[in-house]
Amino acid sequence: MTQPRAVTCPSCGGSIEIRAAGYTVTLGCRYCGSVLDVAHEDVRLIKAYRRAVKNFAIAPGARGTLFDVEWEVIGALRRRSAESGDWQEFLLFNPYSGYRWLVLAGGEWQFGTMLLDRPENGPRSVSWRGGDYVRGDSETATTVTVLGEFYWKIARGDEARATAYTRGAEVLSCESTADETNWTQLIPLDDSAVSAAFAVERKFVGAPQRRARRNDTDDLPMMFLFALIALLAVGLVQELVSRPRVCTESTSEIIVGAPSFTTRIGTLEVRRAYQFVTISAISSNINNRWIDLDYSLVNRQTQQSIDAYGLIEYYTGTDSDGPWTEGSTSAETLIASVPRGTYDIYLDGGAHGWPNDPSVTVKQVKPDEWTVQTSADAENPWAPPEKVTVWFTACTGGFSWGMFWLIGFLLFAVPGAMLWWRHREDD
Amino acid sequence: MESLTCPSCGAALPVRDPGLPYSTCAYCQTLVRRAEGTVEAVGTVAVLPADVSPIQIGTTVNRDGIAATVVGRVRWGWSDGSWNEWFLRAADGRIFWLGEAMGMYMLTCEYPAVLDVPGIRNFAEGNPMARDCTVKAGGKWFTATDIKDAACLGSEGDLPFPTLPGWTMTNVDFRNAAGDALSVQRDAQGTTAWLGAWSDLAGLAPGNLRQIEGWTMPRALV
Amino acid sequence: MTLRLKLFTAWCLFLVATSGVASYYGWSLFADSASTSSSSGGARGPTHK
Repeated sequence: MTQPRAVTCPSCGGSIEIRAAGYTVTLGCRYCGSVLDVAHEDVRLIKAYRRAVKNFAIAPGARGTLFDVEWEVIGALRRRSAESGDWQEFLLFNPYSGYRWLVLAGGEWQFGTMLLDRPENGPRSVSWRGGDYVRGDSETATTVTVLGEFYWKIARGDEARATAYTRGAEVLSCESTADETNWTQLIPLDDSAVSAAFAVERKFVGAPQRRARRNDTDDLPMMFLFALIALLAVGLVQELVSRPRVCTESTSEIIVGAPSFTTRIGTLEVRRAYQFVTISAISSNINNRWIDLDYSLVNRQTQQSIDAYGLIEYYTGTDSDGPWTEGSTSAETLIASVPRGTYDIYLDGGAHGWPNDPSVTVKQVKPDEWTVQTSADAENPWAPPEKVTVWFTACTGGFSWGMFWLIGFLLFAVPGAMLWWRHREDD
Repeated sequence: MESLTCPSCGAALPVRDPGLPYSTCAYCQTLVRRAEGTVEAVGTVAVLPADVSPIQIGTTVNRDGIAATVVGRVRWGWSDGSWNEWFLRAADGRIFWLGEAMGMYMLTCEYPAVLDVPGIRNFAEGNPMARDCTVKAGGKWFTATDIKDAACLGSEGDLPFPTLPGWTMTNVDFRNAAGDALSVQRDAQGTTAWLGAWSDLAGLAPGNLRQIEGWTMPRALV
Repeated sequence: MTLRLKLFTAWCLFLVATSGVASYYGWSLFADSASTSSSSGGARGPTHK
């Protein structure tokens, strides 16, 4: 009868020793976080979880002396309310002295003793053992995580209505559920007293986290809102700051299958130290064709050239899933960091067919005149060659969507990671 | 004091209280009925599950004029847990129950007068007890807070009723703001009522507590 | 306002300022410079299926 009772977690198979044998009813598995009913010889799984519960200031199993009595931490709870954020509660046990509570809220510790007698109700206060306790706020406390042993049935998501009555630094906490009402006397405990008694995780030592933890639940929606506002601001700033915007337009006809040819599509003046230059190309209706667009910005003073490329490609077909299309008939090219100066914009363009180029015959009629013929139409080898028309607009300034989305990712990554982390802790 | 042996295994059967009819053999779990110097085996009691209770047979308590010694124990199980009821006798033959739950204790003596209260008489006749039922006992008002159907999980020592597997009872706990306790129990033998108070262990001024492995007894309790 | 919300606000402002400076100098990580081009010469086609 003196050997300790050990149970096997039906969810993960881990072996757990029960410290308060005979009293313990619910057990939160320290290996997988599953909540077990150990009231009877046959252990039953109340709810399975798959991740060990962590991040408690004191690990269950720790022993320490408070008020001249040695206590063992046998259970730990994380609870939450909309008003107070998160806090932790530790169940202390000594077989000769019964149960006590250690509460860590807002970086401050309290020692709790359940009352055997009840305070007497007044309108705005209660009286208990000759003292008046003033009624404070009520809140709904929800149990978020459960680890270790408890002498009553408990589960994640349990809710209790908690009201605090204060008299100086002493608090009487009244918690009621549908089944019962419990009163607990809470007295403040020095950080150093708790640290001297138990091994307290370093990040929970000291009180400066008070405010931050209080509003733990509240600032995350604000972060998402700020991130959204910042992203809109980034869009606006990118649009306005990249100005002035001056444009030049032209049109070219490109013969499909012919060797690439070079033409000047306009002149632009970059009026600031550096600017984007954006060239957009929109083609006439093409199908199963691609158009290579190699641009060169040649500085009139220095004759130095900045090269960039664009590509228009558009394909259609039909397969077992039905008709498909791929690509688009337009392309936008963003040229970064173009220094101040006047630039001639040259295009080296060529259009091609897929899967094959139409076969093309090129004849030099005069020194600078060419005739081009395609024989795509076998019936009519002298039909005019296939041409595509491309409209170009080249402008100074521009909007880098790549930068916009990169910054958007960096903005939302912070609150997103916090949300994910919180969700992970809650599981 | 007469000396008896277990009819099943032959081990010595200590008689702590000759007035009690039932005793559990500590070696073979046989439940023995004693009557007029004879012993008779009536069945086998379940082995008590391990627990860390600081009470044991032989523990003494002294509170509110009650000085008594533990002579037996029943362990009751209900759907959401279990608890110990320790059976005590005083030198003058009076009997008491010491209920043990949540690390707290309820020391009670029999209080038959409350059985005449209509709500409790109704319960004694086999009807369910209403929660929040209010009764007056010993000049104090009580409210029913806890109604449990319990089954015997095991026993040890000397007891007034047979604790064989299948022995069941319905227990109603009444409480009040002052920490007083009233317990009404209905089983196959009838209904009894017990009046007392909640206390922590130190409040019982206990003696001869069980030494629990891995724990030192607080100095105040030695 | 919590400390971490203040820090996050500073982070937002930093990113907005960075994007402003980058736009002013026409700087982008995602420009279509010729060096990464696979344009002239190579045959192309749909990557469907």
